[in-house]
Amino acid sequence: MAGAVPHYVQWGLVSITVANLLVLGLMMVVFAAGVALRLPEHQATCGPRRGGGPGE
Amino acid sequence: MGHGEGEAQVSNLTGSLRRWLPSLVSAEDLLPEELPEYTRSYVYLFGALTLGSFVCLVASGLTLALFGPGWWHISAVGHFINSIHFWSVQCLFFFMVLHLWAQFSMAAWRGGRGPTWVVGALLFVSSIIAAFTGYLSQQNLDSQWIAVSGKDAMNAVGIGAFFNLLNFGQMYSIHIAVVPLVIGGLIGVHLILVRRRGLVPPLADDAVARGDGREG
Repeated sequence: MAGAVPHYVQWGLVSITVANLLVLGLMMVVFAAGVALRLPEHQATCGPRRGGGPGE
Repeated sequence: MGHGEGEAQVSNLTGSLRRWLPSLVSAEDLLPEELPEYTRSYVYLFGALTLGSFVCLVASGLTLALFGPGWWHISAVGHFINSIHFWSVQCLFFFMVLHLWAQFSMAAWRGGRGPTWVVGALLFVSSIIAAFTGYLSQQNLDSQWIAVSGKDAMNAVGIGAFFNLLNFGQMYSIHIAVVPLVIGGLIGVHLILVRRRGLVPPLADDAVARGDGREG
């Protein structure tokens, strides 16, 4: 809420707001899920092609 | 005068540009209908989600620019579009950092993809400037507070005369004209480079292709 006093988490030299800590945690969860989960199989969009450009 | 088949090829800027543009990336590589099997992972979506957030940012930003601060502070629709713009920024940085983590963890600069990595880094820095000038353009107490607090930092590094945080016109112009043009151009270069080299394969795939991958 605008104007509200933010809550901080203190850990040694580290000082971070609870809101920012939650966003960081959410990012780590989404990243882990992104690495672990596979997109559903779709014949039309996935093939053996490896991207093709001059570098391949 | 017409250009017959027997005529010698004239080399001028237009001709050079016409020959150079198609050499950047072929139509097949630019708009592929099939993607490699290894991209069937959500981790490859973070870049596209960042781009999607940028499209939302531009659409909401153009609407805000059309109607101005008086509208986005007073009317209900203005508040709504302003919020769309704000949350698009949050999504942009959220997905851009996830994209950065993903590309860093798979050493995405492999296989001649160094320039793609460098342009991505430039995009990250440009986005920070865009966000900063955006906060300064809000026309509320927050933006005034940020400008007055930040001006000493700009003066301390010697750029206060060229980048005056207290000058709303300058900050707003940079935010809605200069930075979007730079970011749009860099995104274009980034995407062309990605399409030229192809999406980076996982490290394990590269190791197998080199013949030093361990089985099992």
